[in-house]
Amino acid sequence: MTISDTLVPFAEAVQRYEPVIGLETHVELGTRTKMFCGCTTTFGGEPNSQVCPVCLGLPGSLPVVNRMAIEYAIRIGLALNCSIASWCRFARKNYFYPDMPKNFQISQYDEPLCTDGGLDIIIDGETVRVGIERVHLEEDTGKSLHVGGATGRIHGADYSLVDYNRAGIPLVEIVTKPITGTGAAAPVVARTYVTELRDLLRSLHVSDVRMEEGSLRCDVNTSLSPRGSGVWGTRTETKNVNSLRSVERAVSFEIERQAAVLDAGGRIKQETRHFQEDTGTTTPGRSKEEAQDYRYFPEPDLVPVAPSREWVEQIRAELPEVPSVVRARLLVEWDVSELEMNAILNAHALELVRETIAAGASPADARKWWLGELERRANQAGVEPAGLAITPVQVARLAELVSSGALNDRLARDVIDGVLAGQGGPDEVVAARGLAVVQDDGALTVAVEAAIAASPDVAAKIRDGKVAAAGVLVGAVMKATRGQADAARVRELILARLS
Amino acid sequence: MELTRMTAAELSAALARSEVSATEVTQAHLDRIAAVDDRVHAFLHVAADSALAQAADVDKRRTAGEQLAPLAGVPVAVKDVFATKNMPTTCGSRILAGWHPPYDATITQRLKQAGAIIIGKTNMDEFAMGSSTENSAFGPSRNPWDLAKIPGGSSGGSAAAVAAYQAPLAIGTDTGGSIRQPAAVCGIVGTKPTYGGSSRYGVVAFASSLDTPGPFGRTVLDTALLHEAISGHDPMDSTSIDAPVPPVVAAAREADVSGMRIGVVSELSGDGYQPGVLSRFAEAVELLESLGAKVTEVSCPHFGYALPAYYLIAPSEASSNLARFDAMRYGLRAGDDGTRDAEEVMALTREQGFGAEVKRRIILGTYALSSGYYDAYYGKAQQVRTLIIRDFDAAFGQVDVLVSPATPTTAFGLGERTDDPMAMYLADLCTIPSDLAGNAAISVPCGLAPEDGLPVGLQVMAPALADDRLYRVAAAAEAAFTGRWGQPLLASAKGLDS
Amino acid sequence: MHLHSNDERAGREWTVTATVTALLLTACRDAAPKMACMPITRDEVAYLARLSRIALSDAELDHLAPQLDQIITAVAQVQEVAADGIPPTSHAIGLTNVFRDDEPRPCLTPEAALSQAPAVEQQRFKVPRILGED
Repeated sequence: MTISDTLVPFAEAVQRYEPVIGLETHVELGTRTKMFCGCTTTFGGEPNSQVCPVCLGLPGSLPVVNRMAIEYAIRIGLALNCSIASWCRFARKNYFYPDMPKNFQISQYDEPLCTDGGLDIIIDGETVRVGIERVHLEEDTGKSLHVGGATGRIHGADYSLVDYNRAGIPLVEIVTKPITGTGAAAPVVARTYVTELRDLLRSLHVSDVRMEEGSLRCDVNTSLSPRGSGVWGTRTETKNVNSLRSVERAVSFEIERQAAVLDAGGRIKQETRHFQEDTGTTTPGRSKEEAQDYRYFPEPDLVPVAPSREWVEQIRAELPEVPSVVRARLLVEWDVSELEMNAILNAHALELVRETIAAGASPADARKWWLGELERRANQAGVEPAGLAITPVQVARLAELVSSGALNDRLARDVIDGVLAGQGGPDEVVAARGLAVVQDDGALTVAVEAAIAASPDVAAKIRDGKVAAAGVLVGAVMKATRGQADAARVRELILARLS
Repeated sequence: MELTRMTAAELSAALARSEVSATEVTQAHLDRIAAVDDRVHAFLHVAADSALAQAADVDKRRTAGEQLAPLAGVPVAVKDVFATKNMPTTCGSRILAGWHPPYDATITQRLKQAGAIIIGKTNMDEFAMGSSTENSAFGPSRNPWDLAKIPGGSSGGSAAAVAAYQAPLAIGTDTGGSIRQPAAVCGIVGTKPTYGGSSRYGVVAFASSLDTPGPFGRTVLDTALLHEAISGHDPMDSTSIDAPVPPVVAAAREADVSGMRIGVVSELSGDGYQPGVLSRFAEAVELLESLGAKVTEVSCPHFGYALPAYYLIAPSEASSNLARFDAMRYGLRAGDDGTRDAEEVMALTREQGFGAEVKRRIILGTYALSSGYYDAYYGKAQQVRTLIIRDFDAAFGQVDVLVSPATPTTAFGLGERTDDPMAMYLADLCTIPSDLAGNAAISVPCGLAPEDGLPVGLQVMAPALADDRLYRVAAAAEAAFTGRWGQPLLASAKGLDS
Repeated sequence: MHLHSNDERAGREWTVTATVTALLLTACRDAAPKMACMPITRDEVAYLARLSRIALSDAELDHLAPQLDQIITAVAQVQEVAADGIPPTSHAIGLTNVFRDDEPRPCLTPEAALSQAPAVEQQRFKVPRILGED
């Protein structure tokens, strides 16, 4: 058992080996109720307060399919260009685990709802089509707290406490076909795919897809094929990949690790590994003596699902535009360049900009704020711009206040402080902090007079025609008014006064 | 007449006319239980307090002039596989000893809503696996005809309760014959409704695609009344049929078989059948013919494979259904002394909590579903199932109902087959085909076998959703037989002192 | 194999023969992969018990294996049936598309949910330690 893995540097590894990757993504659906019962799905309830005989798997309980979950899954399948099954069934996946009330999971096995689609992603300006093998529905498990061990980890725990509130939450599993031919770009491809998928799912309004909260979960499969051999390698499955960055790092690490094993003449063990956030490495999962045999068979408590073609077409007709189509359209509508559009995308701000414009801001203003001040603050806080405590509607209002002259840029930043601190919307913060631009000439004149009186030599220069010196007095007035003066107006007043 | 000797229909009428109160009726049956159940052992739990409370409520409502359902005030015994809220529900197993469900099965709710009196929970083979109640963790029940004989299974307690006059009505479940076979060997009536005709919500699952809750009664009409009360669509059960309940009560009252085409299944006869059973069955067929039915012989060529197919499908589904009994959320927890991990506690609990037959079937089912074996076993059995359905379809193209003995032998002795699982399975030979096909079937008494003086059951089978045909034929047979015998069959039962 | 039931009082004897015999003798007619002509071994039974989370004792294993072997040999008879092109039936009733609306329904109180639990802590089901899993 090695303490730390030997690694082959990435660039070298991808020269001699061809990576093949695959991604399995689980999405928690945003339905009101669970997959097979009427318990609510709201997050964060008291333990075991959102359970019933069905999701607790009590003896005698029976599942009934949530129609909305089927609809959401079809929506996802259509958006991923899949074929929607005309007839399919649920199946039981049998295994024992304390967070599984029935010790089987109702899932789909060889009859998934959606099959054989694809998602286009852009890598370095080139379109890469990621094949989608299948999309199917299943139910989530309960959650365990492990007590007694270090840091609440399962190893070394004395016992566990199980909460079944999340048992039965609808999950959609999206499995890609093996992705080949990516070479050194494999880690980026993986990350970009998950990002694009996430944006797509968000646009479908089927989930809030927050990786940090677990409503979007990713398992990454990696294998290496010696270049030119045509022989596919053994793949490993890496779990616990909780962010987009981790997706990229996990693939990268596995390539380096597997290359070293193969270089040394060893064989890759087909296993499940865990991604370690802190070190960016993967570690082997618990080795099992016997491979899992899930003994799948059709779920006898449920009847087949046969979505009519009419229903499928109705869902297709109601599909929102796919993000890539939206982007192409907005490029024209907002009159921005590809570069500018990429900047928006890289800042993960497309939806935000869109919604800000929808709330009344101009495209230029929306971009200015989201790609400027707000992106900076998001990076500082280590979150995505969407994670900031300010809404597009609020940003639109802010832009309006600035363009009407009620605020200047400097004051606007103070307003942002207030909004992010939870002090309310822009108008409330302005009122509470008294941040409005002083537009009253009378008040400004008083400040101007004071500044002139305080710097007679500067005033003299201005009278002599050295207009540039006015800047000093403007600064003084701005300082005196705590930045709440309109600098241009102040300058006008000074020059008028000293001419 | 003693209240416990009255039929449910007679009690219903007397209650409706306020000739007797629900409290009196209930008390009379509780007294009868107290008098004989130490010998019969039909009940695992006698719900005296709640039954009397229910009865008092019915009496109050009737006095207030409320219009009540036909079964209001009539006692019903409930097989311990049905969830009854805050009342013990053990399924005949140690692993659920002490479990009080926090909810009612749909059928339990319907009985309560109808005002029926749930008088107690009856004994059963553990998790409905068995044909004699000898697989109960709490000791077998005994046949009121002869206390040394089995009452059938798995719903043996319910059948014994009715046959011993402890309740006029009972409910059970039929997966491979577990209502019809006990009814036959106890000399009463028992029906397996069309699969999906009665809700499985709250019925602890044995084999999900086969389990069918159904009624027991001493008469065909009583059984029909209960059948109607518990049946109908349930949105909590995805396999529940959304169609009107077939007119079983009307059919039971009409009892007219003239012109009906009746098919005798040629495969359900011959070697392995007790001669006395076959002769009583033959007489029953002649009787039906004399009543105006047209009788022919029909072949269902794949019925010989029904037993092996069943003993693949049922254990497979059971092995999965019983996985939830793992000591984590309810039921027995063994060996949790701080030294064992969750898996060890699970395995020890299941080892101690499950009986031998349950373990046998779980392992058999796990085998049949396991990777590499699925196609040859479970997959193949499901194909055989299709062929059996086609046999039935072809047969019902020629006849309105099929008939056969309900079971190859009369009640065998306690302990006689407990060492030989396969011999025990043979009790289901005649009943299994209907379970696999999801059809409706009934067992109605057709006499006593000359060899041993024990009851023989006539099985009638009808297409799915044609449950009423069962009652039409059974009621006609019952009327004609009772005429011939001069009294109901049960009146001659000697196992208990009158 | 015969099963005899002697009703000594009646002096009659009848046997249950053909069905059981037929079940046993005809099972091994055709060779097919993983057919149950091979008796199920004690080791296989032990593996299945582990898979089913039942801690069978050695005595039970000794007892159970031959019984299961006999049963499996008998149920293997289904393989005799020519079933090419016959679709399997998982449901006798032909229902499809049974759904419910995405509307909340009353659930159990935590007290009710936990009332039957062997052990409770912090309003959760307390279970023995779980070994590391993925």
